[in-house]
Amino acid sequence: MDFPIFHMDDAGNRMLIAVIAIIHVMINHPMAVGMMPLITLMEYFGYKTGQKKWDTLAHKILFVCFIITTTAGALTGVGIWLSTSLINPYAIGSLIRVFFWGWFTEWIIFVIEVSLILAYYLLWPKMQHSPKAKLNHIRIGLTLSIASWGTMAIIVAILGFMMDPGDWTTTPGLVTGVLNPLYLPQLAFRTPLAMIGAGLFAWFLMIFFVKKDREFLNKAIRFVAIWSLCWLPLLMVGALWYHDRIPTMMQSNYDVAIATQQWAAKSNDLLWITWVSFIIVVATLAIGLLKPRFMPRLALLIPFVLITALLGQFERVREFIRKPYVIGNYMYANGIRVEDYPLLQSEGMLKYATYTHVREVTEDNKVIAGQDVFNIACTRCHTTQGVNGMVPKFNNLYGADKPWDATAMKAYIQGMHNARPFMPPFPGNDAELEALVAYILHIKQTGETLPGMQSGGIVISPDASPKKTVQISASGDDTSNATP
Amino acid sequence: MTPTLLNLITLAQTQTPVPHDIPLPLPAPRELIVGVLIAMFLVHILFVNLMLGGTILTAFFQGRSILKGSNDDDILAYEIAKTITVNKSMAVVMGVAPLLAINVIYTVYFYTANALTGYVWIGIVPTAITAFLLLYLHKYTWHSDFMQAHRKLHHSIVVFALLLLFCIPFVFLTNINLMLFPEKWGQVQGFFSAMFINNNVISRFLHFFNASLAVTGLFMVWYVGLPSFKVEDRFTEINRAGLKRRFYMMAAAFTVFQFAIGPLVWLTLPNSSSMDAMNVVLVIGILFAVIAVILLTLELKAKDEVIGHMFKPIVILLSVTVLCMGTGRHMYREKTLMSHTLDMEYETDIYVKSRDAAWQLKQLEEAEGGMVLDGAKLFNTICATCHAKDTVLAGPTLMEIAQIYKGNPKGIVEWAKAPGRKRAEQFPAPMPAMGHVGEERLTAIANYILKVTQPDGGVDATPAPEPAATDTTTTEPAAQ
Repeated sequence: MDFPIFHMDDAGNRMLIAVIAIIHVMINHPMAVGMMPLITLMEYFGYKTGQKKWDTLAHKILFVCFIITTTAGALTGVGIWLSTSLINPYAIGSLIRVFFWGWFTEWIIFVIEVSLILAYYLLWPKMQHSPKAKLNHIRIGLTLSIASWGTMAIIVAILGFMMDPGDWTTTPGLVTGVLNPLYLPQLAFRTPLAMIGAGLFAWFLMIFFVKKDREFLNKAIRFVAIWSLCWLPLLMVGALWYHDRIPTMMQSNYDVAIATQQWAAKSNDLLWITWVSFIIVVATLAIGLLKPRFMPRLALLIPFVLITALLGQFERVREFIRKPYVIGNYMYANGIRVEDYPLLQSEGMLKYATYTHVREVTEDNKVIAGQDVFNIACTRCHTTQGVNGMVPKFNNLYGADKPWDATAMKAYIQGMHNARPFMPPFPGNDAELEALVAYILHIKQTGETLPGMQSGGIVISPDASPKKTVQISASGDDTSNATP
Repeated sequence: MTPTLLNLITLAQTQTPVPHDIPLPLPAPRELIVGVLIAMFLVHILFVNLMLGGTILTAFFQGRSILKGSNDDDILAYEIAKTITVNKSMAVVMGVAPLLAINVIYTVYFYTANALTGYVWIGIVPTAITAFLLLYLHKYTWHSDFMQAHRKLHHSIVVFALLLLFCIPFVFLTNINLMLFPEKWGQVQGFFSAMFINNNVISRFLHFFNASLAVTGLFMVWYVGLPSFKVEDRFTEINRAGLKRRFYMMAAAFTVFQFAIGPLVWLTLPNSSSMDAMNVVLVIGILFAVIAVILLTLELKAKDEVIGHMFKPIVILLSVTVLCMGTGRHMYREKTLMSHTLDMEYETDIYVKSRDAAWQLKQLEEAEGGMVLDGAKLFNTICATCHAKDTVLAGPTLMEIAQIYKGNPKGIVEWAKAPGRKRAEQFPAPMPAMGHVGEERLTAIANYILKVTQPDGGVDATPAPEPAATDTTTTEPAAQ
C-alpha cells in the first residue's frame, strides 16, 4: 500500500528470503553458536591432557568457521534484513519499532562477538607460549561462546514474537513483546540443536583434517559423540515444549507447512523421513560413542547432511505455520494490519494505496485495477505464472483447458481463508475482488507476467483524497458544503 | 471551490507520492536515534575506508613488487593485506547500528529507495560475500608454493576483489540519495536511472574514494609505527621513518585533493546554497582540515627522530572535520525532507483515524451482533476521541457543531463524509472522511449530536433513543 512493490514474478518473493535466511541459519547455528563452545572445550581438553593434536584440530576447525561466519554468515544476517525490507517492509518496519532496543542490544553483543572471534582466531598462534597465555586464550573462547549464544538468544525473541505476540497486541511495549509465549521454548529448542549441529559439522571437517592418524580420529569421533549426545535430551525436551506452545490455530497448517500444498497429502511420509533422518543421526552418534573404530571416515558426512536438511525443514515449517500472519494476530502475510481490514474492506484498498493506476474500479479499468489489487494483496506470496502462481493454482482448481467461471472464482477467493487457514482474508471491497478476478482471467488468457517496481518503476496514484496543500488553499471557500 | 485551481494543485501533487508511515511510535527519542545514526555511521565508514584503502594499497604494492621485483613492496603489501580482513569485519558489524537507526527514522524513505533499486540493492549481499572470500583467499594463499610460482594470478585475486568492492558504495550512495527526493521517485526505472537522478552520486563516490585513501594513509602511519610492526630486519630499502613519511605524504596529498572534490559534491547537491546552517557547519569542518594539512606538511619536513609526534593532533583535527561533514549531511537530510515528512505525517494521521474508526465500529457491531443505529453508542465508539459536548478536544465541541447545523442533521452527515478544513490553526489535526461509516449510521450520529446539545438533552450514557435509532439491531450491514 505505502511502499513501491518489489516483486520477483518467477521464483517468488518468499524464495529470496528463504534462500538467504536458511543459509544464515545453517551457518550461524552450527558454525558459530554451537561451534565456539565445542572448539573452546576441545582446546581446553588439549591443554589439560597436554596433547597437541587436540589443539591443532580445534584451530583448524576454527579456521573454517572463522572464514565462513565472518563472510557469508555475517552478511546473510544483514541480508535477511535487506531482503525482508524489500519484500515485506511493513512487517520489518513494525518489528524494528517494537524491538529497536532488542536489536540495539544484539548489535552490541554482535560487536563483542566479532571482535572476540577475530581475537580468538588471530591470536591463537601467539598465545601458545605459556600456560597462562593459553588459559587466557581459552577464556577468550569462553566469552566468545557466550556472546555467540547471546546474539541468537535475542533474535529468537523476535522470531517468537512474529509467531505469537502474546499480550503485546493488547499492551504494546518491548517487554511484553520479548516475553512472548514462544520465546523460551524456541530458545530451548534451538540451543541444543545448534550444539549438536556443531558436533556433526566438526565430524564432517575431520574427514579432511584428521587423515592418517586413525587412532586420534577415533578419539576425536568419540569426543564429539559425547558432546552431541549430552545435548540430545535437552533437544527432545526443547522440541516437546516448543511444539506444545505453538498456537493450536497454527497446528492446522502443519500438513502444508511440512510438505507444501502440492504434497500436503503426503506430509505423513515426509514426517516419517524426518523421523528416520533423526534416528540415523542418533544411531551414528551412538556408534561414534561406542565403536568409533567401526565408523568409516566418509560416513561422518551423513549426519551433517541430515541435520542440515532437518534444520532447513524446521525453518520452513516455522515460517509457514505462522500464516496467515506475518506478525501473529497483528499483521497478515500480505503486510496489511488486522486493524486496517474493516476500513479497506468497506472503502477499498485502492483508495488508500500510494502506488496504483486507479483509485476506483470501473467497468473500463477492471483489468488494470485488478493488477493493482493483485500487486497489493497477493504478490508478497504469489506470482502470476511462476512459483505459487495464480494461473497454475487456478489451473489445478478448474483445469487448464476449460474456461474458468468468474463467479465461482469470486466466491472462492472470498471464502478462501476459511477453507485454507493459511490464507489471509481478501483485504479489499467487492468491486476490487471482481477486478482481481478479471485480472487473473486476463493473465491466464494472455500469459502476461508482472514486473516488479524495481525494474518497471512506480505509478503514483491519481489523487482521490484531497491533500494538505489543496485543503489549505481551498480553506477560504470550503464553506459551500458546511453552511446550512 | 475553483475546479481549475484544484485540478492544477492535484496534478502537481501527483508528481510526489505521499505514502503513510508505519503507524507505531518511535522506540526512543528521535534525537537519540539521530545521534546513533551520525556517530555510528562515521565509525562504520571509517572501517569501510580502511577496508577499501587497504585493498587498494595491497593491490598497488603487490603489483609494483611484481613489476619491479622489490621485496620490500611485497612485505608491505602482505602486512597491509592482514589489516583488511580485520577492518572489513568491523566495517560490517559497525554498519548494523546506523542501518538500524536509518530504518527507524527514515522508514518510508529508505525502504522506498531500496524497493526502487531492489535487485541491485540485494545484490550487495553476494557481492560483498564474494569480495570478502577473495580477500581471505588472497591473504591465506600468499606464501603457498603455487601462488609464489604464479604471482600474477595471485595478484589478480585482490584486483578482482577490489573491483567488487568498488561497486558497493555506488549502491549505498544511490539509495541514500534517492531517498531524499520523493519528487523524483516517479521517474525511476531500475537502479541505473536512480543513480542519475542528479549528479551527486558520482561526486560523492569520488569524495568517498579519495577520503578512503587519505584515511588509510593516516592509519598506515600509525600501523607502521607499532612496535609489533618489524621494520629493521625485514625491509632493506626503507626505514620506519621513511615508511611513515611515505604514508604521511599519501594522507596529505589526498586530503588536499579533497578540497577540490568537496566543492564538487556541494555543487551537485540540490539547493545546497540555500542551506545556511549546514554551510556554516561545513565551513567549520573545512577550517579544521586546513589546520590539519598545515600540521601534515610540518610532519613531512620533520626529521627521522621526531616524525610522528604530531600524529594525535592531526587525527583529532580531521575527526572534527569528519564530524562536521556528517552533521552537515544530517542537516541537509532533515531540511530536504521536512515538508514531505509533514505531508506524510498529516496523511498518516488521517488514515489512522479512519481505520481506527472503522475498526472500532466493527468491534462494536460484532459485540452487538448486528448493525448498530444507536447514535449514542456510535458517537462514543467513533467520534468521542476527538469531540465532546463542552470540552474542546482535537475537534470542535458538539455545542459548536450543533450551532452551525441546527435543524440540519444532513449537513453534519455531508460534512463527515467529506470534511474540509475551516480552522486549520485552531485544529491542526485534520478530520478523516467518515464515508465508510455509512449514511444510516452517520444520520443516527448527527441526530444524536443535535439532540444531546439541546438544553434538556444532557450528555449521559443513556440518551433518549432517536426515532431513527429505535431499531438498533438489524442483521445485515447496509451496503453503501
